[in-house]
Amino acid sequence: MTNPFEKEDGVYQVLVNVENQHSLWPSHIDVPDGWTVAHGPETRKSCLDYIETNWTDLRPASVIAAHS
Amino acid sequence: MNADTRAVRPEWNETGHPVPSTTLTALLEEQAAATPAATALVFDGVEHSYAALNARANRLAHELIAAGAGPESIVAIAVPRSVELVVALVAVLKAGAAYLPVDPDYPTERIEFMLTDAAPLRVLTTEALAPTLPAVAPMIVLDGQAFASRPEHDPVTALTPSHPAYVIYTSGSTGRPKGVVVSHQSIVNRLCWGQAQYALAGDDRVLQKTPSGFDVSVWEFFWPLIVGAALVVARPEGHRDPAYLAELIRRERITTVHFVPSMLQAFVREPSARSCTGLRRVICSGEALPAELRARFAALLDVDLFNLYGPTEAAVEVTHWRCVAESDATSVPIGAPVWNTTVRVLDAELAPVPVGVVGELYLAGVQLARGYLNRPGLTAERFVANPFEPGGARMYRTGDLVRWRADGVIDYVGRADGQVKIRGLRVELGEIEAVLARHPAVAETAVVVREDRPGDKQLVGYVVPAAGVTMDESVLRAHLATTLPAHMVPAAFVDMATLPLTPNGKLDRRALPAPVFSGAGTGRAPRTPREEILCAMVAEVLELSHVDIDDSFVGLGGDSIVAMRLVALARQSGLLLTPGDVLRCRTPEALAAKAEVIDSGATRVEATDSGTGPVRSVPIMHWLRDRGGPVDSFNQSVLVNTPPGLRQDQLEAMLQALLDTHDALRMRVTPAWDVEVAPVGAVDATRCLRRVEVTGEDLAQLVREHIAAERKLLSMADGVLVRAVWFDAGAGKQGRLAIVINHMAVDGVSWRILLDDLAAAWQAVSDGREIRLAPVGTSFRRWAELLHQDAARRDAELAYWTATLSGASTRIGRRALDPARDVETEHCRLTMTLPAETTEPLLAAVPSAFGATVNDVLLTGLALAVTRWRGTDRGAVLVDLEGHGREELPGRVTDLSRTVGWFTSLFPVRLDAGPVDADDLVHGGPSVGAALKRVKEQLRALPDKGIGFGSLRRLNQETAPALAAFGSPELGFNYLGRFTAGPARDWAVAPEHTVGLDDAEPGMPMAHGIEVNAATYDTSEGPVLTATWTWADGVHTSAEAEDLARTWFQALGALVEHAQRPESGGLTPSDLSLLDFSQEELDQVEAELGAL
Repeated sequence: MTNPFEKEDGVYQVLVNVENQHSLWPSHIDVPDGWTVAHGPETRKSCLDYIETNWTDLRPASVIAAHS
Repeated sequence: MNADTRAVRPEWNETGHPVPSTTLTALLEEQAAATPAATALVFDGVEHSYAALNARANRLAHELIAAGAGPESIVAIAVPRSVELVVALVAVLKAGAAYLPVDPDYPTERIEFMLTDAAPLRVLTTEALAPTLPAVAPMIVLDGQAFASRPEHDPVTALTPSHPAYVIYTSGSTGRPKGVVVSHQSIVNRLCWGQAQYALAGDDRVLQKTPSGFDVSVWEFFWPLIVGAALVVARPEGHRDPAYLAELIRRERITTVHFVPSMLQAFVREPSARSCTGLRRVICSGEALPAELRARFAALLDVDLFNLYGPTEAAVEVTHWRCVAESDATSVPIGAPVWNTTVRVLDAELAPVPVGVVGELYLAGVQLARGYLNRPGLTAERFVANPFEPGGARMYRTGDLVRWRADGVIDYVGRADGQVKIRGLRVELGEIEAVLARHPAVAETAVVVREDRPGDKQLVGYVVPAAGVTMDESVLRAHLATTLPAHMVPAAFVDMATLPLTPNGKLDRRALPAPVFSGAGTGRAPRTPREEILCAMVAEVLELSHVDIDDSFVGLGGDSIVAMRLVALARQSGLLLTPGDVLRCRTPEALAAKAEVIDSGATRVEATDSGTGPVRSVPIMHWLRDRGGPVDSFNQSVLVNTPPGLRQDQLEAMLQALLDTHDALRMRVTPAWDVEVAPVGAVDATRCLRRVEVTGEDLAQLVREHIAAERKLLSMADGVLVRAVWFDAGAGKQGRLAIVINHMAVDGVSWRILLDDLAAAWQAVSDGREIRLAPVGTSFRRWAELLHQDAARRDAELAYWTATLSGASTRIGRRALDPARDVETEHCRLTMTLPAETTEPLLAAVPSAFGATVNDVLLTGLALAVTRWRGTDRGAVLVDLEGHGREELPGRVTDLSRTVGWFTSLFPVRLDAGPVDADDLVHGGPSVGAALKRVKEQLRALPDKGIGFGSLRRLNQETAPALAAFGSPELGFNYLGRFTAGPARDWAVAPEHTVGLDDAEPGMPMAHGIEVNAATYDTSEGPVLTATWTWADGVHTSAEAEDLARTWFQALGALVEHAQRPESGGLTPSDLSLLDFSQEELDQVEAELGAL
């Protein structure tokens, strides 16, 4: 494996930024600036399930705001 | 390397540049207003102005807006290349919507998936296609509709730069394609950067040939249209036809073209490509650009070539490189990031890796896509938080393995996952596996890309059938074709009992067998007599039991030499093909369609080709003359079995047929080296043949003595170039025939022609028929003339050869060769034989594992051995290499498949095996594998297989002195290929005499301080590699020569051992960066793993 995102048995978090974009994130690596933890540490599957359930509109928040 | 030079410098990512905050739509409309009368679009010879295109697109845009289109909505476009396609694309953007290109050639199931997944508001299509499309969304048929009721002015919408411009689907690893959503600001950045970089002008014309479903088409369509240039649209299907493209480029004065490298490969082979001199720039992307292809292109056209890289997920391309000749490069770099884009090369813990270390490539910046349509989980896995920039930035994880070079550009290394490119098209192996696994007959499956022959990447499906089921390839093929585009259907399937696993339980890709096309009977059988003949002939030349019409000649192991034999056989059956046809068409089916019937001896090669009369000297003849010294008995000799019951008059008639058919055998060479071919009949076979009765003497000894005696009778000035001795064992017994020919008239390929002709002549004689050998295509005389003409056009290669000869290399002998002192003798000669158990994998498993040729492997061994032998740990080795020389000349149709003569090419190659670990040479460690990869690439970089060197060195008077000044490399190498020897078969090589090739005359000045001639012979134990070393006494000692000979065999053994190593899962960049090991060496290994 050449990256930390694909370990089936790894521990992950779900990060969210100001645009409500979601990122899977390995728990053992520092959370980058501008992102907050929305879920986890949890299993990879739990994190992906969380994302599928909670990030239903992939448009950036600023685009949604301008639209409405 | 010290710490400073290994650091990735921040300025490499300082790409910030102002770009207007606008939309692609606005740029298109501004340009239309600025140059209304200029030509915007050319299709099928008809030009359309900016004003006309704008008006048509506006009417359709108003129609779409009326249907509800606007920002954040999607409109699908299923239209073949045409004016309507361009109108539709512009109209969708004008309506503020994102366009979704749908390739009408895709299987219905895949189109249905895309349309269901993306849920477009409308599907724009044509009358012809509408009935074939799934009725998922309402359609608008474009042809014949002017939408006359709609206004022609630019519509006003709420479109902003953050809104999507297009949605393009790419292959998805889980079996579902995924739609990449790209915003206007992303593509505007790419287009504005490209315009600043390449400065397209009003008189530029850009070719549109990429199918709209692939993102390169985005800039092809829109770049010219936002700068006032013209877009020239290729006809549907035209993008696959190099001859059509070359013609279109010339006719429509096209200046700018994109090629996927594998298509560029086909383009440079197209003879008429040379005439595309109006081109100003050629842009490559989509797959790795081999250095060899870059060199070929540079030799063909004086046009700037650019190599770009980028995934669909980052607005087409994010890095760029202007191609220049780099002597030691194996592939062309992907370069440096474009505006407002940063690139990171990270290890498994997201830490940046130093220069030279392989890591995964992450992209950040304005060109990143919004994500995957309706796939939040997948989007969050690939577009991840960016730890290198503040404020909640994202980066896209490409899955590509790359490394920084010390000069701040990036080298592409391979893939970190199962994604591959087939002819530049992105393919997720997982997607194919997922679809395959859905079939009830399939229990387990793996799909891999194999490159068993260089340059021929094929998908191969490995299938473990469900219990009680037999694998039926045609059923699987049909199943895949309903869901996947044609380029994703494997070329071959292999029936497996189980899939091989590595010790840690992963699929062992290296243990998967190469597909066996023959005998499986899974392909399609011949349907016509012509296909039947071609299948039989392909089977014959490849020594296979069975060949189907869709089997690939190259995939079955055919190469350019075998292609010539196939062409020769085809001619005998009245079918006219060229070796190029064979390599291009590949399958018997395609060859049957391509072949022309020979009518009354007319051939496609020039009709006025008389082989008799004065012949211009070819480079290798000049080389021999320049060596000086006696050459009359410089010969090659062969011993073959003769059938029981052969009579002298029959043999004389057979030899006469050979002498009359093959001009070179009637050559005369004056002391002033004027060469002339005497007319047919001028050489009498009865005077060339001697009969010797044998009765149980030591045959080998007898043969040796007679060949030695016959050699002395050869005389160039008297036209005695051929001598033959029949060792007659008496009626009812197999005898032997020795043939000795002056090297001026033959080469390795010639012997295969002559032996085939002897067998054919005997067949006729024993059937009581008149001997009629098949006609010869291009004569040697004509070839020599063409080679002289070609020599004048090879100036562009001079720099390449100068660089090869002038680079640093250490002297390997004690002193320079002295022609007065260093002459051929019997003493300084050593023959060694590599046992069958090493030779066998050396010829098969090693080349197959590395996609290399036997020559590549032998030369890698030589480079490794010389490095070790001279006690250094690295450095380039300059080798004088012989090739068969029967290459295609640009712009000429030649057929040398039946031409006897001395075609050998001789040219220097600079081989650098890279750093060699002494231990690896013993145990087959990774550095020998890395060395093979490097040497293979160095050999691929040769322009036109090296044929131009001899022309520039010996024929072109302007370039000859400069090259002559360098002298010859000290080390010579020649591999003559494999000779099948069987005790039984008539007219096959007999065991008592190995093929005596390049038998120098004692007293001839030596060509090299040390040289090796090697060939493979089949024995009862299997094939053995026999190497004969000769050296100049005083330049090398016998002990040194023997040491090199042994070290070479040791290196070959190490390569065999290396290829047999089970690779358990592969190295990762982080493994690499932790090991205390030469990095470059491990990177190469990684490249090989990544390429799997």
